Amino acid sequence: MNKKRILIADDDQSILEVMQLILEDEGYEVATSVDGEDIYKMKGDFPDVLLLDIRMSGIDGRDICKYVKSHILKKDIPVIIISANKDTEQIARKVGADDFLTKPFEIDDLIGKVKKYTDM
Amino acid sequence: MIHKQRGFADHKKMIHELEHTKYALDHSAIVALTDKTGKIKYVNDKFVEISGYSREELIGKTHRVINSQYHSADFMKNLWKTILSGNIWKGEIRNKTKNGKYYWVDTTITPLLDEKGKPEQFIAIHYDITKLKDLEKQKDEFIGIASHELKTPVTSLKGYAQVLRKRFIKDGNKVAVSYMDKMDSQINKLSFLIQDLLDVTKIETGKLQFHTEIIDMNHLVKEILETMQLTTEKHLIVTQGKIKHAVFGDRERIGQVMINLISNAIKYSPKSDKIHVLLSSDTNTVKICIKDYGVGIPKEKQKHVFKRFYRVSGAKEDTFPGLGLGLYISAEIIKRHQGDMSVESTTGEGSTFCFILPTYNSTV
Repeated sequence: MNKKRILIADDDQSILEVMQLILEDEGYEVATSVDGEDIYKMKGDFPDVLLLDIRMSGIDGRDICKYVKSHILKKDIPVIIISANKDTEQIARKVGADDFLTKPFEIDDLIGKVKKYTDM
Repeated sequence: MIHKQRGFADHKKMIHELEHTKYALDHSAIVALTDKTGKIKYVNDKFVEISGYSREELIGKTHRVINSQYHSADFMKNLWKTILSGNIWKGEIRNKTKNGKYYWVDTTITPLLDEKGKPEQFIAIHYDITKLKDLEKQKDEFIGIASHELKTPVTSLKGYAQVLRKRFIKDGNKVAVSYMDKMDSQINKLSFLIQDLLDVTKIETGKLQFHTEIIDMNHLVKEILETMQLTTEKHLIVTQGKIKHAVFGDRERIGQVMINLISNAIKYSPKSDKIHVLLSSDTNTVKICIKDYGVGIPKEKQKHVFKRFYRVSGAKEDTFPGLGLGLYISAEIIKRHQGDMSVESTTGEGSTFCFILPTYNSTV
């Protein structure tokens, strides 16, 4: 069986690395992006889940989420907003994301949320 | 005759002294004199200078000319109520210059009373505190940014700690797992402290937002107590009573208040084994009290516990760490839900912290 693919966009290298480590341990294939620009360039072969930080240097994750959710081909990619903001849930709802996770998170919550969308 | 002359000389001396006082005041403060309706009768040079209006533009007008629309109707009502009843009002006001720039003044308004004791005129003495306010804003913004930045390393630290913990579990290394548990709980403490700093900044800058909904309080209390019971092996948390009415508010923030009160109850009662959570309600209010049997708070310190950065210190309490923010944040959250928080305590016997919230039915 092919491995499910996760794309993580976060501007902090250390957070990218640890999330990659956690998800690879769970058997996922993980790609990372420091600014989310790759999401605009994707033409096909979309990830099974997109983990998206809100505050990235110069780039607003909320804009990326709105773009994905309004794109005819990309709109079905499940987006999980990840942020240190206490109002992450409301932000996620506002931009049409499928789910949210507040930093710092428990790794079981991260794994659980990703599984929820890959096991569908 | 001699007597009369002396009276005249005294009078002259008095006027001279008053002129000196006025001279000194005019050089240090912004001064305005109004009639009982608030119409400006006199302004000094400093008033003219800071407001940007000429004396002619100000005389005969009310202070509404420089109103910046910043303060609530309640704020203004309270100001007028205080001075019309003959009392002195003190506070900070944001005004607007003729050019539309804002400036802050520390203000004292003193009513000058007639023979019947009714206010005849008001004298307003202001000091420019704009720079101080700017610095305060910068400080709040800095704490906001700093605490947000602190969360990033804490997130990856927590992530790595949990990855390691999992690997130790796989290897069957129980000692290492127990160390990792301790590390994780310290990381959580650090992250709560950062969150408290962020919350305080939000309160100070008016950015604390509420996401309101109808809350089944019994359900919320049950959920919180189940979580909090896991944090203590020593204390049994016992509920008494029931809440019969729903509340309209921010579920997470009200939960945060309960978590704070219960953590405090645990923290400040290391030698007891029970914490009571007392629930009650009537058609208008819901009341929740957290009662501990711990060290208690001395009477004279009780009124300060809801103040920012206040920490009860004394020989016995020296061993309790904290930033002194939890109760301040909690009281602010309750206040902004039109509720009220209070404390009753006896040193050596324990404390009871209560908060009341309006019921949903009473607010619609």
